[in-house]
Amino acid sequence: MSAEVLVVGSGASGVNAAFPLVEAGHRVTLVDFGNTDRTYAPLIPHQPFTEVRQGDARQHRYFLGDQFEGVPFGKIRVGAQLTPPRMHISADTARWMPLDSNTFTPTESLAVGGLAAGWGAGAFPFDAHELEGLPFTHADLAPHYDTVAERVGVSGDRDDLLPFLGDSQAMQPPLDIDSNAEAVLSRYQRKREKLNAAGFFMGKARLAVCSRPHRGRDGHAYRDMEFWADTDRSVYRPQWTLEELKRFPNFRYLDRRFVLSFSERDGGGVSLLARHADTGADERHDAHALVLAAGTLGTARIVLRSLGRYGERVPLVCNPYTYVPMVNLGMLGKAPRDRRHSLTQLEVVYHPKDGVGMHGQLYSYRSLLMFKLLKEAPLPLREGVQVMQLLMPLVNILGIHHEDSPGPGKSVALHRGADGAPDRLEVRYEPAAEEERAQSDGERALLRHFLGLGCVPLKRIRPGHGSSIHYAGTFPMREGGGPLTVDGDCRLHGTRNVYLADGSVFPKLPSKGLTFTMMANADRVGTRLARRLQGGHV
Amino acid sequence: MVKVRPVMPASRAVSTSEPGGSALAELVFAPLEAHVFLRYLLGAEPPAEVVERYRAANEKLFAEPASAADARLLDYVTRRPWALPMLDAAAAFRRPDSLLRRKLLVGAAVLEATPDFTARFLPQAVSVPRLVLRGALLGLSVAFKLVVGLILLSMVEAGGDER
Repeated sequence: MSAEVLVVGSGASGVNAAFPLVEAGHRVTLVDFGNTDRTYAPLIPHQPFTEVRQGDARQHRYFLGDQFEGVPFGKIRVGAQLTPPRMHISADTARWMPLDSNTFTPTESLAVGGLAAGWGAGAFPFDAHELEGLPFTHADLAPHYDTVAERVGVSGDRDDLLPFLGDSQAMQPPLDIDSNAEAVLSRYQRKREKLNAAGFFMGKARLAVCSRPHRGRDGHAYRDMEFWADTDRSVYRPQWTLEELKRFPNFRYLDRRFVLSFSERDGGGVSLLARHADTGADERHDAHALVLAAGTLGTARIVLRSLGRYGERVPLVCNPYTYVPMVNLGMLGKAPRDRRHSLTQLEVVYHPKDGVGMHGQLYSYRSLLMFKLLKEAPLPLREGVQVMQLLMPLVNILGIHHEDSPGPGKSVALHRGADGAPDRLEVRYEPAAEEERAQSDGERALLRHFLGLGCVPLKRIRPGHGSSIHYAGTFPMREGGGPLTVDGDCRLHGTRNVYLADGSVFPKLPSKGLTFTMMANADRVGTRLARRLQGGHV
Repeated sequence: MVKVRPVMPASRAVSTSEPGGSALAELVFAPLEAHVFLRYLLGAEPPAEVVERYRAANEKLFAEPASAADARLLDYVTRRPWALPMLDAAAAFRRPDSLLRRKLLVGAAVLEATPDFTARFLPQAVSVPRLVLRGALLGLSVAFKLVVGLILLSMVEAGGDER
C-alpha cells in the first residue's frame, strides 16, 4: 500500500492525528519505534491490588523487576513513578536520542503509545483564555475536544470545576473517589464559599478513563493496579486507538523504525528517512504529506536535522512541577475502603486574585508500595514500617503544576554527532528567579488552604525541571510566523506538506496538563489535512 | 537477642583496611549479612527463598565495591547484630544514602513483595487513642535507638571497631 500520509509516532497525538485521516479513507502509514513490555504484562493477574499482594508468589518480578530496577535509590527523580512494567516507555532513548543538559531531565519515549502509555490520564480542556494567541478560537477546537472525548472515553463530574474544564456530551459519570478524598471533599464542601472567594475550587478528577464499557473497553474495575497494568483497559492508552486503526484496510503500522529526517521532493510529496531498529539499514518512505508526532523533543530533532539548523536555538516550555505529601487528619481513626483506584482522586484549580494560578491533583498513596516511602523517612526500618502502616491511610499526595511561558533561559539546540554518533539535543532550562519565587509563594498560599481542609503538608518536593513530562513550544503556532514556526493548520513554515501535531506547536503552557488539548489539536490537524487531500490541495 | 552464627569462620574475615579489602569483605560477609538484615526486619529467621532473592538483588544493585566507610559499618553490624537497630536509626538520620540503609531498604522491598509478609506492609487503620499510644511508643523507641546509634556510629566512623 503506498501511503498518502506518513504519521511519525504512535503517542497520544500521532494516533489522534491519524484517526480522522484513516476514517476519511486516506491511506496512512504510521511509522514508529514501537517498544512494548513483553516481560511483565503477561505476569500480572487481573485481580485487585490486595488480592495480588496476598496471593501472587510472582509479584516480586513485576513489583521489583527482574533486575530490581523497581528499587530506586537516591533523590526522587523524574520518572520515579515508572514501575518495572512501565519502564519500557523510556527504554532505548539514551542510545537513540542522546540529550545533554545540566538543568533539565526529561523523559522521552520510543514505546507504542509514547509517553501516554504511562499517562496519569488527566483530561483538561483549555479554556478560551488559555488558547489566546493561537490562530484559532476555542469554538474551532470545541468539536475536536468532543470527538476525542468520545474516542478516548472521558469521565468526570459537573461540579465546581465545570467553569474551568467545560462540559462534554461524551462525558461518562465520574469514577468513585476513595475514603481519603471523600474526607477532603466533604470538608471543602463545608468551607466552599470562603474557599471559592479566595480562588480555590475543588472537584472530582476529569480523567480519560471509562467508568462504563466503551468502544470494546471495560468500565473501570477499581483494582488499584493502574501503576502496574492496564488489565481492564479502562484507562486510555494510545494503543487502544492504534488497535482500532489497524482494523482499517487503508492503515498500515510500520514499527521498529527510528525516523531521522524528511525532505520535500521537487515534484511534490515528502520523503522520510528512517533507520531500522534491528538491522540498522536506512530506508526511504514516500507520501503526499507528513505528520510529525514524535513528541516535542523527538520532533525537534527531526525538524532541526531535516532543515540543517544545527546549533540554532528554539524555545522550550515545560510545566514546573512540585509534589507535596500531606497527612489528612480527616482520616484519623477511619478505615479506608479497599475498592479504589490509584489515579487522581480530586482536582484543584487555584486562581488567587493577586497571584499566579496553578492546578493540583490529589492522589492517595498505597499501590506504589511502602518501601518507596520508607526511603524518604529518617526512621529505623523496623519502626519505619510500623509508622507507615499507621500513616498510609492518612497520606495523600498533591501534585502541583505551574504555567510556563518562553524565556531567554529556556531553549533547545541540536548538535551534530561526532564520527557517525547520533546527533545530540542540548537543553537549557533556567527560569528567571522571580518566576520560581512566584511559584513558591503560590504553593505556600495553596497549601494554607489545604491546611484548612485538614491536610497537613509534610514537605515540598521539586523533582527538577522536566519532571512534569509536559514539553512544548519548540515550533510555536503563529499566523504569519517566520522560520521554525507553524501556521494555523500546524504546517511547518517553509514546507508544503509537513505538519506538526504534538506539543511542539503550543507556544506556552497553562497550569493544566497539555495531553488532552494536544489530542484535540492533533484531531484538528488530521481533519483539516484530510479536507486538503480531498480537495486536491496536497 | 538471638545470637547469629556466621556462616564463614571469623578468621577468614578480610580487613577492610587492606587493599581490595572492601570488595572481599562483601563476598565473605554477604550470606551472613542477608540473615542478619532480614532477621532484623522480620523479627524471625528468613525463609531461604527470601534470602536468595536478597542475594540476587545485592548482586544486581551493588556490583560496585563498597567504600571503606560503608564496608566498616557493614562489617560492624554483621558481627554485632545487636547494634543493627541502633545503627540503622543513626544512619537513617545522618547517613540516609549509606550502603547499610540501601541494603536494608532492599531487604524491606524483598519482604514487601513476598506474599507471606505483605500484611506487615499494608496500611492499618486504628482508633485515635491507639494511634496516639502506638505513635508515642514508636517515638520513644526511635529516640532511644537514635541516641545510642549516633554514639555507636561515631565510634565506627572513627575506626573504633576493636576486634
